[in-house]
Amino acid sequence: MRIVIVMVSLAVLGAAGYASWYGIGTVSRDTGASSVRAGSVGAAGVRRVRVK
Amino acid sequence: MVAAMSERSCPNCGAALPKLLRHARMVNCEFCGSSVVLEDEVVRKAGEAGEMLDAPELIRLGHATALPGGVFEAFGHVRYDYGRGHWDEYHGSFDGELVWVSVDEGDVVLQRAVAPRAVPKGGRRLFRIGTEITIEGATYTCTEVDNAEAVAFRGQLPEPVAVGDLHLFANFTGYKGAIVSGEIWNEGAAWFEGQWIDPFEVTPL
Amino acid sequence: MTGAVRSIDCTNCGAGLKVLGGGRVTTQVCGYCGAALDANEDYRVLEVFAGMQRPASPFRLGMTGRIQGIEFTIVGTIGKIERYDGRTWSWVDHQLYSPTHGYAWLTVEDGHTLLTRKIRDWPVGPFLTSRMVERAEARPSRGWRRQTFQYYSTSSWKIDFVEGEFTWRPTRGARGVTVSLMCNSGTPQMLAYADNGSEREVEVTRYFPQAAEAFGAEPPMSEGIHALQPYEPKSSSAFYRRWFGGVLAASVVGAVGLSTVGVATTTLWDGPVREMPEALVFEVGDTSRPAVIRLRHNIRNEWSAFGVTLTGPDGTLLAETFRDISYYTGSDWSEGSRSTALGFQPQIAGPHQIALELDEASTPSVADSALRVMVRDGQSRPLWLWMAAGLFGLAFLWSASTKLRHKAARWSGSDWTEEDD
Repeated sequence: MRIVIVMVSLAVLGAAGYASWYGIGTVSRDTGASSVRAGSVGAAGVRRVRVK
Repeated sequence: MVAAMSERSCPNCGAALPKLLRHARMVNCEFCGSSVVLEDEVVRKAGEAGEMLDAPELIRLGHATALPGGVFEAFGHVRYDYGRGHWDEYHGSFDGELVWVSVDEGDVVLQRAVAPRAVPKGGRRLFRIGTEITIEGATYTCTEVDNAEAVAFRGQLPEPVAVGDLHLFANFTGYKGAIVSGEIWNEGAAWFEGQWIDPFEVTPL
Repeated sequence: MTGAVRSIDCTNCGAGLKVLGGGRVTTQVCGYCGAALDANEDYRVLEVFAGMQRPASPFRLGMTGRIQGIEFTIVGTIGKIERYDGRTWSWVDHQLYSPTHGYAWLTVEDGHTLLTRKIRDWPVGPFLTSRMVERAEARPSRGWRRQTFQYYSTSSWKIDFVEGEFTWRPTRGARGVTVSLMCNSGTPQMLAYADNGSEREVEVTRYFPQAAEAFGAEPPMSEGIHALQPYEPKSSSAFYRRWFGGVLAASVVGAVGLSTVGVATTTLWDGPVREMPEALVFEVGDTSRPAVIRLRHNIRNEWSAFGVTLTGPDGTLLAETFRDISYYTGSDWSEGSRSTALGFQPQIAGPHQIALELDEASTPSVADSALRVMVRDGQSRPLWLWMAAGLFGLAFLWSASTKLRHKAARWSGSDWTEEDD
C-alpha cells in the first residue's frame, strides 16, 4: 500500500513538474502549422460582432 | 514515637515476648498463641490470640506498604468476622504517626482516632442507617451497620482486644470519600475518622 | 472470603452453583432457573426471573484474569438494554471480584471491553442527574483527580438479564439512569453518575482491550471506534504525514521557483498603434518550450481587434489569427482586460516575425492609444505544480489529522446539543 501511494504521488509530482516546466497549456489553439493549415486564414467571418 | 520498650516473657508459657513497642498494650505470644495484656509494668494472659486463617492480604504484618501520601508499617492485626466474611484492621505507623488501616474486600480506609471532644454523642442510638452525625463541622450519614466478632489478632496493639468480643460497627459516609466509623463493645466505644484509599494505590514495598 | 462455602445447590431448581464472590455478596441469581437467592438467609428464593435470554459475551462466570497484576474472578453477569427513538443498544456488565481489591465491572459493548470501578473520592459538585443535564445551558463538567470531564451522554437502561453474585439485589426489568462525562485529554476515561433508583454511585470507566486475553476468552469482534478507545498512531500515519509534507514542499518550491526565476521579457513595441511598424521581429532561442506574445492595449471603455500573423525563421506561417481587447470600467466595476496573449511552440530557433494590424475598433481614436507588445520564450506554467501542491496538501491534512478525526469519532456518540439561543 505504502509503495503504491509513494509511486503514485511521485508520478503526480513528476507529471506536474514536467507540465509546469514545459509550459503545457500555454500554447494557444490558434497557433501552429495545423491551425493555419486548417484554414483559419481570413477568419474575419468567425469574429464576434461587437455591440458595445 | 514508635520506640521499643523492655523485653518481657509470656505469663502463660514463659517464652520471650517480642520486643515491645512503647504504645503496645496487647501482644500475642508467638510460641503458645496466648494473648498477653500489658498493664503498667505487669503482663497478664487475657486469652487466646485466635486462629488467623490464611486469606489473601493487601497488607502484611511487619512489611512496609506504600499508601497514597506515605508508608505504612503494620505492628498489629485484628480480624473481625461478620458471618459471611471478615475484614482486617491493621495498627501501625504511617510515616511515624500511629493509625489504623481497615481492609474490607477492596475497601481500604486509613483511620485516625476522633479527638475525644469531637466524639458524637448518642451512643448506640447513632448506629442506625441514615443517621446523620457532625464532626468538626462536617456531616456524615450512616450507610452501614454490622455486628462483628473479633476472631483473631497478631502482633502488638495499642489497646486490648478480646478475641470473641462482639463489636457493633457503623460506617458514616461524608464528603469526597471521607468516612467516620464508630465501634461499640462491652467495655467501650471508639470513633475514627478515615479517608478511603484506592486498593490499586496500596503497594507492598 | 471466609472460604467455607464454595458451592451451593439452588434452593429453587437444585442446580449446583459455585460461590465465587466474597462475604459482601447479598444476592446470588441461579443461571439455570433465574431464581434470585438471598445469600444472607440460607439462599432462600427471593424471586424467580424466568425465561431470561443470556446475552452474547465471550466472558463466563468463574473465569479469572489479572488486572494490573491483581487476580479478579467473574462472579456475576448483567445484561442491559436501552431503547431510544426506535433504536436499541445493549451491553453486558460482568461483576468482577478480588478478595484484596474488591469489586469492579467488566463491560462488553459493541465488542469493545471496558473496565469500571466505583470511586469514593467523588468530584466536587452535586451528583449529576439527567434532570440537571436537561436544564443545563452549557455542557456540564466535573473535575476529578486533576482532570476535567465534560458531559457525554445520558443512558436510561433496563436490566434484561442477571446471573451470578452481587453485593446488591439486581432484578430483571429494573431501570436506572447513568450520566456519563468524558475527559478531553490524556487517557480516555469516563466518569459515570449512576442512579438505579435506590443507590447512587460514581464510577470511572476505562478502555480495557486486554480483557479477553487476561481472562482467556475469545476476543470479541469490535465495531467502530468506542468513545473510550485511546488513539493509537499507526506507524504508517507518521510516514504518510512526512511523505505528503515532503512532496507538498517539493511542489511548492518548484512552483515558486518557476514563477520567480523567469526568462526575461523583451518589449517589441511600446507606443501608439498608428505608429507601429508593419512587422516586429524577435529572436527565439529556446525551442523546447512555448513562447508567448503579450499585447497590452491602453484603452478605456473601448475595444480593439487585431489581426495577427506570425511567421517562423524559415518563413513558415505559424499563426494567422486575431486577438480582441476590450476594457470597460465604471466607478466601481470593470469588465474585460487590456491584455491578451498568443502562445506558440517555436519549431526553429532564430528570428520570428509578428505582424499586428488593427482590424476594427470601437472608435477611430483607439489607433492613437498606446499598445505594448512583449515576447518571452522558454515559457513555463507553475499552475500544474500548484495543482499538485493542492492535492498533496489535502493528503497531508488527511494524514496529519488522524488523531483529531479519532477524537471526533469518539465524541460523535455524545447526545449534547448546543442550543442556539
